[in-house]
Amino acid sequence: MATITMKSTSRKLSPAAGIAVVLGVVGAVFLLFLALILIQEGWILIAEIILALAVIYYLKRNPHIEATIKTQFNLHRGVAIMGAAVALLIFPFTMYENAYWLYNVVIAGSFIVAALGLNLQLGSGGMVNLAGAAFYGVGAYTAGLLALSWGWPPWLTLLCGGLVTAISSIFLFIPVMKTRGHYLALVTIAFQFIVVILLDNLEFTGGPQGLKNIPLFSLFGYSFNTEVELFGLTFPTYVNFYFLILLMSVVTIIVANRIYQSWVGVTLATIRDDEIAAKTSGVQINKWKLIAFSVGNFFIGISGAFYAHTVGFISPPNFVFEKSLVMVSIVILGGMDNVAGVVLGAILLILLPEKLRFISDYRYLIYGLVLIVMLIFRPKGILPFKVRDYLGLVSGAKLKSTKGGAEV
Amino acid sequence: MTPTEVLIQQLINGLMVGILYSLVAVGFTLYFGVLDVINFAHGDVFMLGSFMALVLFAAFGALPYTWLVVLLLFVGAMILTSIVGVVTERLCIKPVSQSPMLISLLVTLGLGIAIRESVRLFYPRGADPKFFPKLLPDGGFNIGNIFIRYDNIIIFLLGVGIIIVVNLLITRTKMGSAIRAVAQDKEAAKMMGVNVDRTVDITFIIGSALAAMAGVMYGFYYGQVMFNIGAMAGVIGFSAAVIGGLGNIYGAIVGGFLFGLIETLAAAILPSISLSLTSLAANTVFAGFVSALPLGTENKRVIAFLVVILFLVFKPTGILGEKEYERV
Repeated sequence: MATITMKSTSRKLSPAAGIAVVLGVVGAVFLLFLALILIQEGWILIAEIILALAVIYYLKRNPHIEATIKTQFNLHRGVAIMGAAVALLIFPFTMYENAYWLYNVVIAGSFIVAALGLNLQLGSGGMVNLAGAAFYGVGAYTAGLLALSWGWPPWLTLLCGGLVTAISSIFLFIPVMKTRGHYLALVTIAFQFIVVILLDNLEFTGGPQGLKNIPLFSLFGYSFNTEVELFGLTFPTYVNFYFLILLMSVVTIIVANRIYQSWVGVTLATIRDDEIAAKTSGVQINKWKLIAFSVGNFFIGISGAFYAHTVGFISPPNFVFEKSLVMVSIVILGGMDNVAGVVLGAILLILLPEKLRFISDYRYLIYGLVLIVMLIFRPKGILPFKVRDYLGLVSGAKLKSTKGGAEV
Repeated sequence: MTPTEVLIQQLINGLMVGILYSLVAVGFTLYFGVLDVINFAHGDVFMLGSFMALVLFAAFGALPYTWLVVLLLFVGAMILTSIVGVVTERLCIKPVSQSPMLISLLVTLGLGIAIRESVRLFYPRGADPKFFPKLLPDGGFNIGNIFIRYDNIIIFLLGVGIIIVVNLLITRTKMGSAIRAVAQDKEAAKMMGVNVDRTVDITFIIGSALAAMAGVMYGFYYGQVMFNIGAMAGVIGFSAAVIGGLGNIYGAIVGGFLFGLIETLAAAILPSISLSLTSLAANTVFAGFVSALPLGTENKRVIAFLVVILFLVFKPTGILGEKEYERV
C-alpha cells in the first residue's frame, strides 16, 4: 500500500449543505432513471447518455467537486441510504401504467442476484464460468419441478433451487480445481451445452415445451398475482414481485459486500491475482475455489428459481449460452470484484437493450458492437476494481480499528 | 443392415463431419499460436463463408459449367471471408491480444454476435434456413449394404487436399516458418527480421479461408445453412483444437476427426444401449429410471462434450500438445 495517491481536495460544507448535496445527487439519479423508463421515445436514451458523458467529463475536469460529493456521502452515509431507500420504495408506484417496464426492472433485479453470484466466481476468485445460464436453469427447473410435482410452496422451492444448484456444481468441481483460463472456459461452455441439450431432450423436464403453469409466489395465502390497490389506483401485479426481488437483492448485496470486505474476499483475491503466491502464503486454493464456486452458484440458482416463480413458464431457450454471455458481460462491464459496479452493470445491461426496442431488430448487433468497443476502450468496466480501503488511507478518513484476519 | 455395416456407415459419416470440424479447428490453433487468443468469432466466420457462397451463387449461378460455378463458390467465398477475417483481426482482435484472457474472450464472442446478427439482418430473409444449391453430382454406389455418395467423396477429397496444402504452406515455405517462429517466440521472431504484424495478418487469412471452405463444404453436405450454425461450430472447433492439443496443427486435425467420430458413434450406439437397458430393467423398479435416461440419438453431443470435459481434466494439453511447465 505504498503508492496511494491522496485525494483530499474536498471542500468543507456545513452539515445542512452536505445533506442537501447528498439528497440532491440521490434525487437527481432517481429522476433521471424514472425519465429513462417513463418517456417512451428513444431520444431520452441518447439524451441521457450524452448527459452522463458530460457529467463524467465535468467531474474529471473538476476533481474537487467529485471529492466533495464523495466526502459528503461518507459523512452522511445514513442520509444517503435513507434517500435511496425512499426512492426504491416509491419507485414501483410511479409505474402504475407501466407493467412491462416494472417487469423488466424485476428481471434486472434477479440478474443483480445472479451476477453477484457470478462475480464471486469470476471477479473475486478469477474462475471463468460461462455456464451461468445453465446453473440459472438448474435453479429454475428445480423450483418448477418441486412446485409442480410435489406442490411445495414457492418460498421453499426458492431455497431448494439455490441449494440444488450449489450442489450441482459438484459436476464441475474437478475441472474447477484442475483447469483454468481458456481450458476452464471451454469446460464451462461444454457444460452449458450439455445442460441445454439435456433440458431439450429429457422427458421429465418437458422437453422443448418446458414447464408450464408453475405456481407464482404467494405468502400466507396472499397470491403475488393480485393487483395492488392503493389510493384508489390499481397497480400492476409486478409491484409484489418488485418488493420481493428488492429484498432479495438487498440481502445479496449485503452478503456480497460482507464477503468482499472480509478475509474471505481477500483470500479469493490473492488466488485470483497469483495462485502460486497464494499457495506459498498458506492459502488452501482448492478449498476456497470450490467454496466460492458453490456459493456463487447458490445465488445464480436462487435467482433462476425466482424467475421460474415470477414468469410461471420456463423452457430451454431461456437458458442458452447467450444468457451466460450476458451474465459475464454484466460482471466485466460493470466492474470485476466491485459490488456496486456489478449492480450498475446488471441494471444497465438488462434495461438498456429493452430501451433499444425502437430499433428492436438491431438490438443484438448493437449489443455485440458496444461490447467490443467497451472492452477495447474501457476493459476494467464502468466502476473499476479498487484497493480495499480498510485503513481509510484512500478516502482520507479516520484510521479505523482493524480486526486481525490470520485464520486462513 | 448388420450392426457392423451400421457402424461402418456411421464411421463414414464421422469422417465427413470430422473433416469439417478439423478445418475449423486448425483456425483456432493457428490463432492461438500467433496471438495467444481464442477467437470465438471463428465459428461465425465459418457460417459467413457459406453465406458468401450463397451470394456468389446468386451472382454467378447461371454460368454454363457446373464445375466452374463450384470452383467460383469455393475460391470466392474463401477470398471474401478472409478479407473479413483480416479486417476484424485488425479492428478487434489484435487490440485486445495483450489484455487478460477474459477480455479477449468476450471481445471475440461479441464479434461473433456482430457477424451473426449482420448476416441475419442484411442477408435477404436472413433469419430463415437457406437451401444450398445442389451442384455436386448426385447419386452414389453400394459396397455391400453401405451406400457411398459421390458428393461425399468429392467433399472429403477436397478437405484432405486443402489440409495437405496448408501443411505444405506451414512446413515448407518461408511464410510458414514465419508463422511458426511467431507462434514460438514473438520477440525472437521480430529480432530475426520477421514482420510480426504481417505474419499475423497472413495467419488470419489462412484461418478464415479454411473456415470459409469448411462453411461451403457444410452447405454442400447438408444442403441447407442458417445464420446460427456458427455458434455450435465454433464451440466444436475449439473443443477439437483442445482435444488435439492447442497450438499444434496436426493435433487440431486429429481432434476434429476424433470429435466427429465420437459424435457419430454415440449416435449409433446410444439407441442400442437404450434398448438393452430397457429390456434389462423391464418389470423391475429401475424401469422408470431407465426410461428417463438421456439415451436418444439427439444426445450424441452430450457424450461428445462429456469426453471433452474428461480430456480437459485428465489430459489438458491434448493428444499432441506439449507438456505445460509452470514457472514462478
